[in-house]
Amino acid sequence: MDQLKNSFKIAQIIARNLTGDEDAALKKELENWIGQSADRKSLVEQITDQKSLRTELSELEQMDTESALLNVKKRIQEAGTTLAVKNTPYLWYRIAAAAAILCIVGFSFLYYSARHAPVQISDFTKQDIEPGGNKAYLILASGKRLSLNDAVNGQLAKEAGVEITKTADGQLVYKIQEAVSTTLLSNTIETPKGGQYQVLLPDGSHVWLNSASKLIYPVSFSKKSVREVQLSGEAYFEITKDKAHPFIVKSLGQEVEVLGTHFNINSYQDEPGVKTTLLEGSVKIQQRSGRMVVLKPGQQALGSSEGINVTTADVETSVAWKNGDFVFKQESLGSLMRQISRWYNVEVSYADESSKAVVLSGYISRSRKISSVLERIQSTGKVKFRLEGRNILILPQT
Amino acid sequence: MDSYTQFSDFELVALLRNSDERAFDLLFRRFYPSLCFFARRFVSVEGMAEEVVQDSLFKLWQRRKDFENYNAVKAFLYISTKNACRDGVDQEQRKLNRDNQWYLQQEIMEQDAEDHMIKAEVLMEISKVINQLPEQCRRVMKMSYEQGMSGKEIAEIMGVSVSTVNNQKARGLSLMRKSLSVENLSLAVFLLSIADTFGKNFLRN
Repeated sequence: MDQLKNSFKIAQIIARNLTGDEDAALKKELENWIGQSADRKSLVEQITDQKSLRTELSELEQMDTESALLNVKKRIQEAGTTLAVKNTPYLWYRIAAAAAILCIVGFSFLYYSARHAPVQISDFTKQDIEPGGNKAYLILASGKRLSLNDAVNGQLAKEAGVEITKTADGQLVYKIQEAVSTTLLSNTIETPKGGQYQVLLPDGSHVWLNSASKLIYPVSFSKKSVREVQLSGEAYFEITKDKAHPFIVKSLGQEVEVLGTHFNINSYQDEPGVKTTLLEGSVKIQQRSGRMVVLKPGQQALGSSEGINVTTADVETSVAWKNGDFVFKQESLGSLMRQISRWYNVEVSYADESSKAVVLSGYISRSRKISSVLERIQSTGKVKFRLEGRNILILPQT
Repeated sequence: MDSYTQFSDFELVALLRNSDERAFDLLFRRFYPSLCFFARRFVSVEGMAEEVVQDSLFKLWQRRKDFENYNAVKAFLYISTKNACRDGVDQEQRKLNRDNQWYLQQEIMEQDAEDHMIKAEVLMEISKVINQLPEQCRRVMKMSYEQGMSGKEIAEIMGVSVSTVNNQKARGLSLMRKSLSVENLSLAVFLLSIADTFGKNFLRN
């Protein structure tokens, strides 16, 4: 209770501050409270931000308090009269009727439970697996391989001519300094299974690299007529506009050419084709075979050896990984497990291959341990998991 | 203006205990918007936040005899709203599971709940004191705080001089400061067992 009480008090002090209050003792108290964690500082900044305060106050203003009050008063009255009912002539009929309904409900419940026996959830938490994190390797043109882990190593960064910074939401960003040399050499950033990373290219373009992916980029962009990178795996790109220097992403048998836009490319070897999803701007996709399409925002191209198929994209699903979520809409278990395997660095095998075709929908944060994800999928009653070390065996649910 | 605004928070709770409906109305009007704001942070289904909050306020009336002080009322409202949001989410989840979907709302994290509550409380305090201002003053503060209008714009709309607007603003702020007096804060000392129980639940859930 003390904490709750304290929160109320803090809210009152913040409100007073907003009215320009100068009470020194209260100010000190608020400062002490803020001083206890960095999160509190940003919370108070967020609350007192004039613009959001305005929006939120008008959100409050727009609520229909009066009709809500009427609703509740009606309920109070009804509750009052129901309690006051005594000696109703047909009371016995009513009790009998209620009992009958209870019986029916009860039986159907039993029937339902028997048919849908509760799913046995194995306890995955005993040998849980942590989610992936910010992990990547930088491979220099010289062949030297450096680890870019959560722990920032200042010296390492300096040597390699990069800057590693932390964004407001705790993501590590690897910023490549524009090299002064005229070299045409390339560096590589590679994420392992269970890793992800953000890269800021020298032209200001921002790349989010998903697990088990690789981005090859030139040490210097400035001497080239096009900005060209190579991708394997999955990445989300926010490309800085530069009409004079088109940006080209080469991946698995195709080239995507853009001027300045936001898009996602999923080009894992084990996926059925290369998926390019466009969020903003426009991109041109050209396959090695010569086939070419131009995408509009909100469209997705699935490129395979049979050509390029353009459909309306589910943008939320396509870039969920970048926002820290898994989002599946009518997706096959096979596809879903491939994503889980990359993020949790686990191997997946099937007792019965036909399980791969089970279709599921749902979403869950990527920051959760594997137990939460497996339990959630298992709760649909469609499949069962057996987790041993880093191996998941999928059993059909009988 | 409602004459009940003259009562202190402590007196309002005493009136509520005595089944005074006007005290309930006032508390309802005061907390409904900020509780809805709070609930909307946890549930996204249209209309569900409002339903949950109305339920909490209904329960407040049913249990009106139990509250010894203002903080206990607030604690009850926020805790039962938060718990109902979580249960509502569970229900949605069960429904989805039956439809062969799996789904997990981000769990309601204790820290988030506390942050949202502080925010909702700040908004409640501010709008409470704005609404207690005298008519002209209130209009000026609303236009300035909620619509972000400049002194000049407000003067034009109200047909008064800019200096009148500025005076009203200064007066409004000073009245608001007074309403948000430290006296209210010192009431936090009166805490009884019921509030403690809620507090523990709040922290545990």
